[in-house]
Amino acid sequence: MEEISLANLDTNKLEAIAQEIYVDLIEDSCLGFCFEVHRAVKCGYFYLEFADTGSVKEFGIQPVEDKGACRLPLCSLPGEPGNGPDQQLQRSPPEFQ
Amino acid sequence: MNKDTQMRAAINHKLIETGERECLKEALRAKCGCKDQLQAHWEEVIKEKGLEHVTVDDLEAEVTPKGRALVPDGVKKELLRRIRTFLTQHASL
Repeated sequence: MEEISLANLDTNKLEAIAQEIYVDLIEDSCLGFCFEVHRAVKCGYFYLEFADTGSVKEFGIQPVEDKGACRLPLCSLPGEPGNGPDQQLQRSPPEFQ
Repeated sequence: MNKDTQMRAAINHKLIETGERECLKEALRAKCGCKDQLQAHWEEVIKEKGLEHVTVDDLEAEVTPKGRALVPDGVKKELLRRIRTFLTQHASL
């Protein structure tokens, strides 16, 4: 590849090249930010890391109601009578007892 | 590939090879503070498009023009100075 010399270029041309490089840097940085934000949105941590507002409702996410009892089927936390987890599922399989 | 395109490609190659491009990007990120100022714009786009449907293109179309405008003059001048110095130091590519 033949050697390219910038020494022969006039000031205007060099300035134009410098401006192009600058604009490219800005766009590259902005795109990088966009990828970070997009990833945060898709992985579900945007409102933790980026959002100014405290309410998750503004992003269409329903806040979890705190009813004081966990309704997960495998959870062993005490819950309201009749609404608790399935007791049978709480026991470890025999081979692990 | 015409001479102009060749020249631009050679300059970019040199910027990456020497690590200067990465240094300039880091300097821009560190001194700019644009990320904080763009937060409100990101939230706007996401509220408009919805969490499920927002794309990188949506974010980029909205945010890049604003990001460009938010770079302080001092930072812009410093970056251009560094780029000109680089071009002078690497006059033959």
